[in-house]
Parts: sequence; structure tokens; C-alpha cells
Amino acid sequence: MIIEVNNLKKSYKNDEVLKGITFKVREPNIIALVGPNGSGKTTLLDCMTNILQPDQGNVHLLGKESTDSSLFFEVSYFQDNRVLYEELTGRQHLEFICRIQKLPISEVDYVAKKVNIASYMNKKVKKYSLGMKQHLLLAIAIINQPKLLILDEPLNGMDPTSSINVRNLLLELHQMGTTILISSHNLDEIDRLTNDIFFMKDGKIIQESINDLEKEYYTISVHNMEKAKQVLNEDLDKVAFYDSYIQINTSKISLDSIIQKLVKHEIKIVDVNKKTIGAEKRYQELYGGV
Amino acid sequence: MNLFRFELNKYLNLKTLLLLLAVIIGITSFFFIRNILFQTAVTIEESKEIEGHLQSTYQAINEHREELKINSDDEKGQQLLDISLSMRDEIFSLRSAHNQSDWKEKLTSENRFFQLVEDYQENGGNFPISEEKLSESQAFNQQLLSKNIPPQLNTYSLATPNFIKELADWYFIIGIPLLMLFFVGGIMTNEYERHTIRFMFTQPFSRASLILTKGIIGLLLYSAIIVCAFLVSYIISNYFGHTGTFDYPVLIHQGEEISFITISEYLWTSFILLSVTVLMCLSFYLFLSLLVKHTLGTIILFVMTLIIGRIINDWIPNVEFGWLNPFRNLFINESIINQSVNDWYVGIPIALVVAIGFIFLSYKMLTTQKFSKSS
Repeated sequence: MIIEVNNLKKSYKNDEVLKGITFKVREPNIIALVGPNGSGKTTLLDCMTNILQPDQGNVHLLGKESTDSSLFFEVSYFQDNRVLYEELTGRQHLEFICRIQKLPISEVDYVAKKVNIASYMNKKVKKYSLGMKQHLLLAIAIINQPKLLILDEPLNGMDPTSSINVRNLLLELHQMGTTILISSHNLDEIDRLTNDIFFMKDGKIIQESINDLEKEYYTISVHNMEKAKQVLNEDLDKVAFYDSYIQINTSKISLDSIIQKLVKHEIKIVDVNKKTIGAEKRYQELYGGV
Repeated sequence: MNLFRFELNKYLNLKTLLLLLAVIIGITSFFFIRNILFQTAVTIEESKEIEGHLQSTYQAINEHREELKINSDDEKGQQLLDISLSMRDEIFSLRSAHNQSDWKEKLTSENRFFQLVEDYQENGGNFPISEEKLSESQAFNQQLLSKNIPPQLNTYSLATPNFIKELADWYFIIGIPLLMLFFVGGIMTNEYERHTIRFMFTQPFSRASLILTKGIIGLLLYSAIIVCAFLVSYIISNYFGHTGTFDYPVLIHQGEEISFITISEYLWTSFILLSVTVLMCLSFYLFLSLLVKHTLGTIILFVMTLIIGRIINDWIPNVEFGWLNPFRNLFINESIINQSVNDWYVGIPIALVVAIGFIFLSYKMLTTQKFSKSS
């Protein structure tokens, strides 16, 4: 068992944030933890890693109780960037982790190249931008190639290129057998990254499989929208018209048949895009409109 | 060891050490310059004191002469007049020795004068020097004469050992606690305020080892302060002042007796008491910082507790069970100088027990630590 959380409860004064959360992760996987601000995501992760003491319940990670500090040889927790020591350099952080984890110091340069922080890791953290801090935190989290990697909002402050790099890095880690539990607000990234989503709602977890949620749709941009509307008039329950594109629900009609109809009536197709609305759609259903 | 090295990087960096050194050099220089500036004033003050004695003696002589004019058969009055005349003569010798800077003659003459004052008071005469001062001054002068050590000023001395002692008294009471608060104050609370403690809590070492490491760092900083303070005051006073001797006597009260220890013994004893007190205060501070998790709040609570402890200490003066009072050694020099009821070391066990108690409580708190809501 990789993660085993039993009846976890946590309150702050009269505010019950976690109301008996129970879940298990048996196989290496990528799991997203999703919920609006204040839903208790960080509280759950803090309780799982023994930063917070739960009021009730227990957590086992990789078969060890979460109170056993030795589990951090195999578990890493990517946290808020305030955990970094401003007066120390990135290298000093990484060297400390290497020594504590009994890893060769050469790993510092290896991971620095991998996460792309080599150019600034000798500077003090107080000179880092938010994105740089996020990168350093990621380097710290993955330097020991953990069996379980817990990430709390790792994509905050990252530009699109960095986000893509981080995504690829996480997928690479997953392929090497690391289980990843990621909390994020970036639903697009989650759709690209994960198989399973844990939605946090009312202090509980709703587990969803992304495969059940997955609803692909296509958008087609055309030159003559009015003519396209006339051509596709009989398919109004399967398509939706917007200002610059047509949205096609491929669970009801095939993309090919739509394209054939448009081509047959000499309507020029400008662009075709494939999209998914898995996590976002379910999020809207659970928490209301965005 | 790795954790220790990391912690050392955080607190004992070059900037901190340089700042510490600068503060200590500043304090030491201030005291030494003050002592240089006060040399003349102190000599004038000593002369004034002699003149004051002379004036009191003349007043006594005149009073006794007036009384004898009224009653010439008053034997006691005649005896007191004879003693006061001898006192007057002795003061002249004392004044002459003082002006000629003949320290042996001065101390001998001063002791003869004090002996005459004692005789005068024993015969019912009234002279404005307390019995305690008379006995202490005579014993002290005698000690200097027997050891052949020239006297130094009690305060404002330029001799290395006496200057170090004077500075040590200040450091031990105010200086080191303040420096410790400044340099070690945030050692734990800063981690909470800045959230960096979360980083430490998710590393593969126990929280007990974190406490232990923080404690060792605190003691290291304390040692650095002590060593710096001693070296800087030694170098400055040795270079700009004069050598003196570490065998210079320090008067203490042991039981009913007046006794002496040397300055070097005084400094060692102070160091031992201070180390135990610092250990107790550090562990108490650690406990408070885990309780309050805020640097300023912790410092206020800590200082308030010490002040209350000091007040309690004054309420429980030197009684037989005074050793049970953990605040006993807050004013270290009092514990050493006044050993009338309790020896200087009796407060050490209770301070150590309190220190261990707070370390244990801190460990318990740290293992069941709670944070404020963060998501």
C-alpha cells in the first residue's frame, strides 16, 4: 500500500476542515487533489506528512506510520515556497538534503541541470523570483527520487514553458515508479497529467476516475458560419455554434461526418481542434460555475 | 552532524560573527574609555573622602573639647578626645601617603585609622563609617598587604584583571542575556514565523535531534560571546591599560566570616554559574518559543518571567532553602559574594533540573506540534 488514510479528521476551533477522510492508493499512480481555496487540501497534505497532528484518524505512507520521520527517505513533500531559508543559497539547501538523505553530493549538480536551476543555485534564495523558488523546491523534492511525491501547488508562479517542463518531469518520475499526489488549481495541467482526481468537498473526498469523466469534443473554425449553420441545421442537438467556431460533441456524432458535410457544401475549414473538458467539467458540476 | 552543519550555516555565518565582534568591541571600548576619563575624578573623590574623614574627626574633637570644658572630670570624654586626636594624626599620615602614591604606607595608615575609628565607636563615639565597611576595608587592605598586591580602583580600573572583572559583572548580569536574546532569540520562533519549520519537519530526522541541534547552536553562540568578550577586554586593557594580577583578591562573605578569592577564581565561578543559568534560560526560552511561536511575544514573556523571578528572589533572601529557588543565580555576583547562608554552587542542581524539565516539555510539544490554518 502506498497511501492509506483512515478516517482523518481535523478542525480549527469550530471549523471542521477534514470530516473523516478515508482513501487508499495501492499502485503507483498520479493523483490530483482538487478543490477551491479553503477546502482543506493543504491541511490534508499536512496531516498526511505529520506537519499537522490530526484530531482523529491515522495515515500510513509506504507502509509506515506518518509519525515515523524515516519515511522522508522515500517520501518528498513539495510545499509553499516560504519553507525555504532566504539567507541560504539553493546549493546549500540541496547539499543539506543530499547529506541528510545520504546521497552523493554530485546529485546536486545533476538535479540542478534536470530542473534547470544551475544558473542561479549559488545565489541566496532571497534573490529568487517566485518561479525560481518553485524550481528549487521541485529540485529538493525529487533529488532523492522518492517513491511517493506529494506536491502542493507546484505550478504556481511558473511560466508556460516551465509548466510543460515540470509536467514532463513528473511524468518521467511516474514512469520510473514514483506515485505522485498533486494538489493544483490548474485543471488543464491536471487533465494532461493525471489518471485520477480526488475532489475535496465539504471536508470529504470524492474520488473520480478521469476516464469516466473524459469527454472529448472538437472545435471547427469555418469561413462562412451562416452557411455552416444551414448545412448542420439537422444536427443541432450534436453541435453548438459560437461566433468563430462550431463545437462538436463526438460522443453523438463523428467528426468525419461533420467535415464531409461542410466540404460537400464547399464551406472552407480554417482550423480543427481537439479538446477535453474532464476535470474542469466535473469541477463545475461539483462546485458550481466558474 | 549534517543537521548541525546546516544549522551552523544559518546562524553562525560570517556576518553574524562580525556583528557580534563589533558589538563586543564597542561595549568594551566604551567601558575602557569611560574608565580612563574617570581616573582623575576618582582620585579627587578619594582625596575628598580623606578630607571628609578629617572634617568628621575635627568635628568630633571640637565636640569632645566642648564637653570637657563643661565637665573636665569626664574620663570617657577624655578618652574619646585622645582617640580622635590620634585619628586626626593618622589622617594626616594617610593624606601624605595618598599624595605620594605610596600604596603600602597608604593601606597601613588607612588600616590604623580604621582601627582607631573602631576603638572610637567601641568607646561610644559616633563616626560616619559603618562597622561593616570598617571590617571589610581592614580585611581587604590586610589581604593586599600580605599578598604584596597594589590596590586597584573598585570600579574604573585600568588593570587587565580588574577591568575584566568589572566588565564580566556587567556582561553576566545584563550584557550576555541581551546578546543571547539578540543572537539566539529567534533560533526557534523564526522558524515558525517564516514557516521554515515545515521544511525541517519533512526531513528524515527526529524532532528530538532538531531540538538538540538548536540547543547546541545556542550554547555555541554563548561560548562565542564569552570567548569574544574575554579576548577583546583582555587585549584592549592589556594594550592600553596595565597588567595587574589575576590573584587580586575579591572579598566574599562565607558564613559569619569575611573571606577572599582571587579574580581568576571569581571569573571561573561566575562562568560556571552563568553557564548553568544560560542553559536554564535557553531551555525555558525554547519552551516559551514553542508555546508562543512569535519572537517578540516570546521575548516579552521571557523577560517578564525573569523580572518576576528576580522580585521573588528578593522576597526569598538568603534563607536555608534558598537553593530551591531557580532564579537565585540571575544575579551571579551576588551568589558568589554573599555566601553567608548558602555556598555559591547550591543553586546549580535546581537550575539543571529546571533546564532538563523544559527541554523535556519542549520535546513533547514539538512532537505534537500544531500549526495555524494554512490552506
